[in-house]
Amino acid sequence: MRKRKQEKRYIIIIILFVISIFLVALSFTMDKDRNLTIVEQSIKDSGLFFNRIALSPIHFVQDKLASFKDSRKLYEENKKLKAKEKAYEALESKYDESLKEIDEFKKMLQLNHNLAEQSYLNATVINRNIDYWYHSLTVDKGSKNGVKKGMAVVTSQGLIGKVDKVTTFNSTVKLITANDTNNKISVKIKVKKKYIYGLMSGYDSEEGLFIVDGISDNSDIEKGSSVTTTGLAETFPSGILLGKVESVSRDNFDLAKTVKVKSEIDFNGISYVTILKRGRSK
Amino acid sequence: MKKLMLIPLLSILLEMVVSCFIPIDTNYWNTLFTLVAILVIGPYFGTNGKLYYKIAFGMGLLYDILCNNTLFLGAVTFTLIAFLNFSIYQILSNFIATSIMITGLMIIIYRLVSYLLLLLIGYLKWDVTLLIHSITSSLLLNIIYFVMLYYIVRFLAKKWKIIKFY
Repeated sequence: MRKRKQEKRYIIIIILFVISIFLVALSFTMDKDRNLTIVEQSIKDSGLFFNRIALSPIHFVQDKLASFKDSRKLYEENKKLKAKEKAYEALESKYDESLKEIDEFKKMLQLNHNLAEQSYLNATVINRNIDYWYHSLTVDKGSKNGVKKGMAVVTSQGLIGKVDKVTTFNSTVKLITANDTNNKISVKIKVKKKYIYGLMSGYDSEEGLFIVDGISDNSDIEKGSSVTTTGLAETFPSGILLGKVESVSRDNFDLAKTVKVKSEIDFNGISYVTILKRGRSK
Repeated sequence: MKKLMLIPLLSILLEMVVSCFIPIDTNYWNTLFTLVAILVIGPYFGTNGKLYYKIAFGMGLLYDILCNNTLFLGAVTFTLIAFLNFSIYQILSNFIATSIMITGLMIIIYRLVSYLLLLLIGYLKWDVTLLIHSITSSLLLNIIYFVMLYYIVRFLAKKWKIIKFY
């Protein structure tokens, strides 16, 4: 009888030991700083190669349909573009001038780069958010194309996330809608001629709004004010649009404000993205 | 019997392709095709439980690497679900109605276990609505996929002369 009890105790201890080892290993693999091993990268790349092959006929049909729809609007758009062309030329020369000036200022100040500099890389989404918890996309550009972990990812309407894992031919993008504890971004809200700084700390999936808190400034924040990235952290360049202010509330102690921000992006239907690299494109 | 491995392998590929056309915040259409495929092939491994668990572990690991960038979460949860599935089929008969109920139950357990593990390591915040939504949004599409796969596998098993044990 006593022997049996002892055996039971040993079994319980062994089970607890195995569970704790498993939890430690799991937390190690979920670490945001972990890079994929070469074996993982090759398995992922080969699997996603078949995924791309399976998707290519579907993408082909989708693109054809989209270009057919676009061709119907072409005449009207062409007219508008012609009207804009002259204004664009003037702007382009102004832009070149400004770039030269910035370069000269940088030389004078001995700066290597500024917070807003970025170059672009377009990518296609090849799968998304397969298991419920991660809120991620996989895109068809990897380290071979110059993608690095932590790069910002945007669409034409604003910020969507950052590169989380990179393999040779593909990358995983973690969306800013993810509910995990590491998802925080430094942002600024434009109020009249000044900026108020805060921290985007989460996403309310029921309302579809981002939560920005830690705002101690007393200025009135109006509905519709633009919220952009600050460029202060390593990841996101300055000035990428997150969304517009939807509502402002004060905390229980009346010390800080919490702002809810609405993004223009439809996170459910992202098919093409742009990866931003720090540093100006040449 | 080893030919049945093709079913979860093709299901992973199908899951990756289908994910491109499903909204991220969907209320009904979250895919778990790989897990469902493992549930469907379970009754065909009556005398070879070890092989079934090995397949479940391998598929879980592949699912981890291909879809989630993790290493052990899918492998362990898939093996656990395979063990429960295998044990239940030794008690209950494998009619389509009971199989659908078991599949529903397994999806609930899978979501619950994954959520608790991610919560324990501090990856997710405590949010019951998130857990409930993850379960409710995963039931419908996966049960439809289960019914389709149930008949496809039954047909293939007859063709390949694989005996169904439970």
